Amino acid sequence: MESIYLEAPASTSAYMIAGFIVIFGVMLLYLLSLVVRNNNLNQDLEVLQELEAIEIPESNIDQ
Amino acid sequence: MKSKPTMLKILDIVTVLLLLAATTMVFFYAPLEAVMGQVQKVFYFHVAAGWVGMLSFLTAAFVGVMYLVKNDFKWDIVGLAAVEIGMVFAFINIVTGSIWARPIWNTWWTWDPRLTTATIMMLIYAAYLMLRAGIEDPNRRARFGAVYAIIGFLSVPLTFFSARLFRTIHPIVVGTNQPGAQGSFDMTPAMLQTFLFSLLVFTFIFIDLLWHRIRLGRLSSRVEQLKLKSLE
Repeated sequence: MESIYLEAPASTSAYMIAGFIVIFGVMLLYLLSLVVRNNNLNQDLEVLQELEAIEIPESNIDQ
Repeated sequence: MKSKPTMLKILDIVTVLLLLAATTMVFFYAPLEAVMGQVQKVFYFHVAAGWVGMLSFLTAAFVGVMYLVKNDFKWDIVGLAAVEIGMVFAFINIVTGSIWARPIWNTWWTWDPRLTTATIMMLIYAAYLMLRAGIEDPNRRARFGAVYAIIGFLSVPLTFFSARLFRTIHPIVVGTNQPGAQGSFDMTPAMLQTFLFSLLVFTFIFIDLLWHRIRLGRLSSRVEQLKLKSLE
């Protein structure tokens, strides 16, 4: 007579792998976005500081 | 930009080690659930991600109040950082829930009260980011953002209690499941330890990411100020 009860857990490993890919993938993407934005802002800051350094002597000449 | 503080470097290392430990516990310490099989292992990080999402939105509401009281931009930077992190983890929570639901509920999605309120909560905070992007004046942007974060927080307890107040098929961890809940299970001591440890680890991830995002926010604010100055 066949048992009506489950004898082994369902085979759901593909879904588990997909779940962990999403968890680690999204966290890694967010970390990457932080690094990229940080690098871009540092570049902007350098340019703006250079511009500021150029503007100061000119304003001194005006005075 | 200032170099990374030593405390933050230590926190980075500790957080990575804790995440490795939690992942090891999920795969090698927590037993396999008898009915659902391997996919149940997603549960530990699914709930932890939901916890970080809600903790982030609570932080945003709190710092929103602080900004309105103190009128100091540092609170605005923290608020934006918290909402951004909250969005990332709320997204992880919803997508992993959908992946779990496919073999357990036999559907990727259903308009169940918990799933619906969680989606509304995410959309409310997506609108927060859109609102901020549409305001140029920094004072106005910070003030509107603070008020929005406080009002938007109403969606968080609504999402949390939806599975307890309404008829739902979504199982709950703390409290009694609704009669129609599908996919609920009794946790063994090893499962409970893994679950609680995952919550702790994700709290560390939240603090670490928040610190990094606040530093980025400060840098962004400095660049914005220099840009405005150069235009004058």
